[in-house]
Amino acid sequence: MSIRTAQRLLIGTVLLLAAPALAETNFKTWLNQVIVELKTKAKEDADRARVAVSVRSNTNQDEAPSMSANTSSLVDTSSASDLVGVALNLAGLSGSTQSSNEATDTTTTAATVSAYALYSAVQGADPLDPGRYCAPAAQWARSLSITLGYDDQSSDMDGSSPIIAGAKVLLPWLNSRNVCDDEAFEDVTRALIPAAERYANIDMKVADRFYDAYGVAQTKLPSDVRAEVDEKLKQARNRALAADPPDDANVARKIEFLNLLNDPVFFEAYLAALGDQAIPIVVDAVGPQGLDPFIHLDEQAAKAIEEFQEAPQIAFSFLTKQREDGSDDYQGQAILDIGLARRLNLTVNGSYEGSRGGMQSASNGGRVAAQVQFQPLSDDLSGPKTLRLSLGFDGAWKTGGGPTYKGQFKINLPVPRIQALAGLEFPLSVTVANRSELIDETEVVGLVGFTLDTSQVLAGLLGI
Amino acid sequence: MAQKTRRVRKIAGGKPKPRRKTTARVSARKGFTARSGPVVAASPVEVTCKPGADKAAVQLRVSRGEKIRYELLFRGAQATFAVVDQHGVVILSNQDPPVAPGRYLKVWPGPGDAVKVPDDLNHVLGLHFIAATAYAWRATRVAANGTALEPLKDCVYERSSQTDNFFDPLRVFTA
Repeated sequence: MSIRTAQRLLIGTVLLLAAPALAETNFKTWLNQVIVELKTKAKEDADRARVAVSVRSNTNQDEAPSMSANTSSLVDTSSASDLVGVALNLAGLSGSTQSSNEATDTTTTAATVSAYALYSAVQGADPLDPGRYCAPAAQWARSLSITLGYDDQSSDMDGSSPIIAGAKVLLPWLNSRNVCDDEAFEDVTRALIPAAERYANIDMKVADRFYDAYGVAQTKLPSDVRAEVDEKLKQARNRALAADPPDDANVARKIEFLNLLNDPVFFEAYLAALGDQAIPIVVDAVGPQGLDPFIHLDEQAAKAIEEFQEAPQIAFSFLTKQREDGSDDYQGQAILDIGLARRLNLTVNGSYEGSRGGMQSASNGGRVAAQVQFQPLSDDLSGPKTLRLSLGFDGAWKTGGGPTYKGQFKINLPVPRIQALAGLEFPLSVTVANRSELIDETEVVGLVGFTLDTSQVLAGLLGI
Repeated sequence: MAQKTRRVRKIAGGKPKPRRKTTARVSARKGFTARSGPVVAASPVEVTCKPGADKAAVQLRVSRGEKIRYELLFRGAQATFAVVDQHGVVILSNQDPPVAPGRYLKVWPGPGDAVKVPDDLNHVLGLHFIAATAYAWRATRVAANGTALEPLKDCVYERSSQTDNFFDPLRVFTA
């Protein structure tokens, strides 16, 4: 048995199994679905890559910035949500070997808003409107985000809550993940053209065979449906003959029939009348040329999305933590995001960190952090984000103190199956440090919090 | 597999009584006004067409100067679509310049289009949802003087996921 024959047998088997589920629709949606079923089965081993672009970017920062006393984020990522991201990290679940440290009793709340969201709000426009989304001003505005938050430090000596404020800019000329780039999806268009051509050929063959089969299949139609169809076909023929000059009556009759196939009631009845004949008609129309253009289209789309997610992205941020009393902290940071492999993303931070004011002398230091994030499950893009696992390292040095090293394991838990909560997740993290801020002892801190990406929530509510 | 099939009590043209769409449309933007017609969506893509504006075939009297006006609008960052016939001739695609942001237009046959009479063509609209969340597609048969003669397509297609694609054919019999 040749490979082609085996493929056709497989296709026929698949169609026979799939047929009952496909019955309730009209001709065009039925044929679309048949082709989806066929190609899905034909590439059984190929995962349909379903990863997000833009709204579902894997580098959007929803968590409080790493500068916060009690954040589950060891690194900062290069992008922000298109609208507003809200993060709340509850007081730490401490496993520390020492009793008092800044992080343990701190609740951090931070909101990150893109200038695009503010720009849209000022203009009273829908930020998800397509005409606006790729406008040059919108792209620039989406590159800039502002963070505002505070650490609620009940254990602080003066009871005050430091304010965290900052801005982050994603440099457009260094951003390889621009969804508005005209060339980003060129290969998908190139693959779509032969797929549409192939569809046109299959559709013509199937529709013509359905038309030719009417003479026999009509006897199995319900009598009222048959009478109505016959009358319509007769009228179409008569209209053609009555035209001046007369139209081709046979063509007119065929056009009428093809249009009836788009009527769900007639199509359903006709599909039932065709019975077992319908499936072999499609199999014959697919023929030895197969469905390669459709499979190629899926592959190109998956490739485009993966390339998009793996492309490097660089951002620069400035953050400050302002205290009523005591020294203020400052941080200038470079952030790199790059995809290492499918669903595996690396984020690297390099920053200057210093403090000024207060009773203590000014200090200067630096920090390097890196995080590898793995998404174990494929993303179907239509609902909540999927589970994400992260492993991070952070090293910080400053004048007047020893170095601090931290390692972190984190799980981002989404809320599954609830579209309206698509932007909500719960980051759970365990951090191990060689010392706390104040004393040289090993520290283990567990954190739980939640993050809310409002662009995701809005997309869920709008069904987009 | 989502099944959202509209049933009408009689075949279209014979006093159809479509049920109202039960799925709420939260927003209706320009070109995406809510359709009250049958919803036919066995595929993951939700397709909603206005009643009487989902033709599968049309006779186009090219010899009398009749044309088809195609118009596509979309929601999202970028449109990825192509209107192609069975010979691979591209009639309109996102590689053509839009007439306005988010709006593509083509009157077929144009001055450079070679058309045989009679002929049997299949103009298929192929859509991909990689960077768009919805498309609106209109096709109208127009007279030589530009007067609209008959609506052929007035449909909205909405994705359920970013990897969705959909094909909508229109058989064109030239005369």
